[in-house]
Amino acid sequence: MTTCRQFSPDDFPVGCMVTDDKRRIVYSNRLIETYSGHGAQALLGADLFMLLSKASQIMFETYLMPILAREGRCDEIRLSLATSFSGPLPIVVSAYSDRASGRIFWSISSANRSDQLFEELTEAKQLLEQKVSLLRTLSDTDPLTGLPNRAALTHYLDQKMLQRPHNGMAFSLAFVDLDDFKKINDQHGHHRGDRVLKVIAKRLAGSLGRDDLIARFGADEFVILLNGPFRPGAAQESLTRLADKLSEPIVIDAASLSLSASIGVTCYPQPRDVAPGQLLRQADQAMYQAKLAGKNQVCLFNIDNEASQKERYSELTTLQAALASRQFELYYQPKVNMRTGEILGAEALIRWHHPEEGLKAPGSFLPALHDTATGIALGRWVITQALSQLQTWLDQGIDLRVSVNIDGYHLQHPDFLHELSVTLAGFPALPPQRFELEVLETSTIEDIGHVYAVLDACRRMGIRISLDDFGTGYSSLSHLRDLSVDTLKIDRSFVKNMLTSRNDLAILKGVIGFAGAFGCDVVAEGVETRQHSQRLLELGCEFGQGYYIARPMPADAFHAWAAAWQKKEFKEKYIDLEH
Amino acid sequence: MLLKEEIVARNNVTVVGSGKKTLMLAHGFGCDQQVWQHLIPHLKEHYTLVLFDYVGSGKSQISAFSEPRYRTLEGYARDVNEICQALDLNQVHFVGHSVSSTIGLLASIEHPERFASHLMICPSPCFLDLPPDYYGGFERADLEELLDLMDRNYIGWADYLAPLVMGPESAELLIGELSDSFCSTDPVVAKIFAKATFFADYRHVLPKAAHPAVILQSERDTLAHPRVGRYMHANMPGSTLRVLASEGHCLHMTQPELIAQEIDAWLRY
Repeated sequence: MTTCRQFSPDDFPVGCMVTDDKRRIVYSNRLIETYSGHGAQALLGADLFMLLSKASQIMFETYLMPILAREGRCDEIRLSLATSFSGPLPIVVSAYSDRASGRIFWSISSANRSDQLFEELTEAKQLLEQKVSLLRTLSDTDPLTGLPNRAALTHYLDQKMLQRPHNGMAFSLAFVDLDDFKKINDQHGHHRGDRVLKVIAKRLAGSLGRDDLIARFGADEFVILLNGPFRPGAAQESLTRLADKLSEPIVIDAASLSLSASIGVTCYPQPRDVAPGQLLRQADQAMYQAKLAGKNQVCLFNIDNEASQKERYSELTTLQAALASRQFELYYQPKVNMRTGEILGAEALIRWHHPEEGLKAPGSFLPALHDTATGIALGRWVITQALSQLQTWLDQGIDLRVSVNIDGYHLQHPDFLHELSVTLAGFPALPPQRFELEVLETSTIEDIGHVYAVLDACRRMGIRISLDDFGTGYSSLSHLRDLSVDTLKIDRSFVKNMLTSRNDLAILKGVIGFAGAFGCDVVAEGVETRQHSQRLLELGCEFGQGYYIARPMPADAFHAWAAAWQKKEFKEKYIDLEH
Repeated sequence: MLLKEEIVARNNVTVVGSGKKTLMLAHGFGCDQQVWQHLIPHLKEHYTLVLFDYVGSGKSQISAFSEPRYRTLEGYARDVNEICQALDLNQVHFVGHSVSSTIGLLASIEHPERFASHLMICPSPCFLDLPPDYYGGFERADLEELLDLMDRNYIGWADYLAPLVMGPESAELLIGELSDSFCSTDPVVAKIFAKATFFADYRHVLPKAAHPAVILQSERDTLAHPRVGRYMHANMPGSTLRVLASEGHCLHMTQPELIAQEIDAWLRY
């Protein structure tokens, strides 16, 4: 083995140096001379700082020295060596501090190679930064409209709401949904639909302030964040102006397209804590409310009434689809003369063949349709369907009347009469007096004068009118006075209770009396037993309808029922009754 | 308004020693309160020592860092005053190393009622050469090179790239995981402190000094040249200049006994 004495520090490919506690160089090997360009004599006793650039001197004092003082050594610090022959040389130094003597032992090597790596890394980092920034832009931006997308909005909202409301921060959040946008895509193609969305995005963006934010939330949904405290009314007003702006015609390829938007808006802060997602849901719900109320309008979210408008809307959408895919069917329940057995007619009653839940009665789905466009569409379908069935039966020689139930809101629709007459004109051979409208909910009709006029007009067209559920509404009597009707229908509740309740019996007697006095027919609903039939006949009410007579049935079952009724069923059920 | 506990946690405030006189020890650029470890044994018997890390340094809560606040020395001075208020410190003798001398001066001008005097170790109100009146020791190019060297030294490669990969939201998480090693510094934060320290000119505050101050000047110090000490002494009313027979800029580390003697001498004035 060779001893160390055979080798000198000059033999090693690393700069070696020793400095004393006054920072003076007390030893340096040959490589230091080569690196620095100073001879051994110049170096000996010189200040270490002679070899360090100014910046390296600061690094020494603020970085290297503190580490040495605490840990006694430091490794691989990148500094610049001041040279006598050219610019600074990048070096990497490691140092060991001998506390006893105050000396520091240095190893110094060139940092050219690590610098090259650093430059490459810096370049790579810059490239990566560009790519990341591009990716962020892409991930935050809706490519079609250039607006921030849903993710960007959600992030912005989260950040914004992290600020405390006591900083005075307040804003309104609006959910904008284009009405019937699907039609545009269907009729004009997605390409034009996309162009419409771009126009809409531009209009929205153009109508907002610099501090406001607009994002494309989904297909034809946009979310707007209006900064600043608002009276709720003020936000609504400015959004109504926006809605007006959106409903201006859009010209695409010379075609003028009309669009409108339903807008829901909610305000922040609120009396109770609210999360960003909840705020979005509120605006969304208010938007559905705007849809339900007839679209093309702005609705303010009512914090006190967080009813599930959305659920109602989704139910409505399902019902629309059911109507489109012919899942509804009319059943018919006979009305008969309980004394003679004559079949007077049938009341058309709607049923829904739900694809999963089976046959559904109207009570389970009609409430959702109340006062909606879909409700009116269904009402229209019922009328047409019933008329068509009536025509078929008349053609088959079955002579009866068919009645349909009509809701108050449908009657009040401005186009009701016109549409009815158009529909009737489609059945020119059908005598209108075979058709009857059973008017429901007369007590809740707001514009009773208008409805009277409509019903009068119907009667003039030859259509019969009956007041359904008669006796349940407090204003029924006044109706009877002001409105000439053909039939009163006694509500099933009176029939059901007449055997046990003297009051109900009294009302029932009264209705029969009124009918006689006003010269109209009277039909008892809810005839479910032989006793009902008997009592009604005793009271002078001959016309009945109910399970005892027949349950509602599909149209194609009616013929067989009528035959059986006339052949034996009437006799079996009624023959022994005292007439 | 932050609670006492919040300030204490934010600035990693520690109080050691006992004594009627309160010394607040403020580290300079690049380090943290551990730079005082050699000096503490000499002082803690006689004084109450308040140590802390500026936000962005040492074990401070880097989540409290904001560039707008800390890109000037006034932001760091607010740290000092907030600590004084939180701990209800009065008659504070402020021991500032290097740039912290200026920070202490700014703090005392803002809230003179809290302070009693300044002990300035190797101070400099401006590191730039601004000829013909003032020579702080450095050209702008030297300081640009410093920032470049910081880039090359302070940065672990992973730390350098991780924020890009993880996104800005992860910044706090990352900072939370910074190594505990001595003088470990977040590169972004350190560069902001460096710029605030080395590119600024606070000479104009010197005449506003309202408390007595002693300037402990090293005979040989590139960062704070004796002529800088003389300039400060000439422009700061009520100041005393003590040129010490020593070298370097970190006298409290290299010559703690000497500095302790000077402190004792000053506080017996």
